[in-house]
Amino acid sequence: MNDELPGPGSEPDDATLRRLAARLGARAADRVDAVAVGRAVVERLRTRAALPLARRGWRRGPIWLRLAAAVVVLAGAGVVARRLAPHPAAPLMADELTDLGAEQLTDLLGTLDQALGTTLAPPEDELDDLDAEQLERVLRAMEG
Amino acid sequence: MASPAPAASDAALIAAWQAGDEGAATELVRRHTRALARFLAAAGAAEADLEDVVQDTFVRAFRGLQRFRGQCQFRTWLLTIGGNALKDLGRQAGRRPVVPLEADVAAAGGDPHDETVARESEARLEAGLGRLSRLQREVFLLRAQQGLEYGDIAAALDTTEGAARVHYHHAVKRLKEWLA
Repeated sequence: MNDELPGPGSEPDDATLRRLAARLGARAADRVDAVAVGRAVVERLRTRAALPLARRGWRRGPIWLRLAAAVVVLAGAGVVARRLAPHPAAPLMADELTDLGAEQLTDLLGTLDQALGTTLAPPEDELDDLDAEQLERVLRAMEG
Repeated sequence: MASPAPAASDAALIAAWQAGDEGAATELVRRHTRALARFLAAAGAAEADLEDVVQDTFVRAFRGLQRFRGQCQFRTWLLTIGGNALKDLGRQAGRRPVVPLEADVAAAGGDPHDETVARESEARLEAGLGRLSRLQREVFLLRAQQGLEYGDIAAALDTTEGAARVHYHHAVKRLKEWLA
């Protein structure tokens, strides 16, 4: 086994180059334990297969699970949006105030006070003196 | 499930692994580890990292088996994955295996002078390989070291057979110039 390359100035022939190439890495490869590598590879693959969904990425889960997760996220977002958004019922009620009596309006203001945690409603006797337009302004002022 | 016989084809072992037979995976690893390690070492893997890169290559290959459709030999496909793993690890540049001379000469059992000369020649060839483009280096090693056919190399590298031949001849030309 003497694959000495030619001296300076002359190129190696193809056969020499191939023989050398065929031997490259052979000694390093001899030190690799194929059995140990096999065990480690199988173990890594097994570990991967057993990883919880959160670590494998939820997108890899079954379609029904992804849909359920999407529904939960949307429902949660809806609840948050409803809490953050202005009360949608107030403008509708303001349009209908002309149909309400003084007692009903007082009850309504009391309900709003409870919801807002404040006491914005004027005394009951003052409400009797307000017309529908004035009551609407009061309601809008309380809405902010 | 019983493991396939050792003589089973790679395709049969792959099918068995995909059906849940871990023994098939172990047999594929045993069958191809040496060729893969030689390829990676010649392509620039540091000896200290070699086993890790080999292991990583197999894990990648098994996880990506759905992309292997028999377009080339499993080994050829595996070697190209090894090339990618090596590149990703960033260990190609300037990381050549360092082999303790005394231990190797003793283990080889040949004439120490011949062994030393052969090691020097291999070291020069390795240095030359390090100067090639990655594609030239891989084509050269797949052809000259692994003895693969151009058609198989082309399929694994997703190129044409003609292009694989050109890369090989460019590589040989540059290596000869480097080694002269």
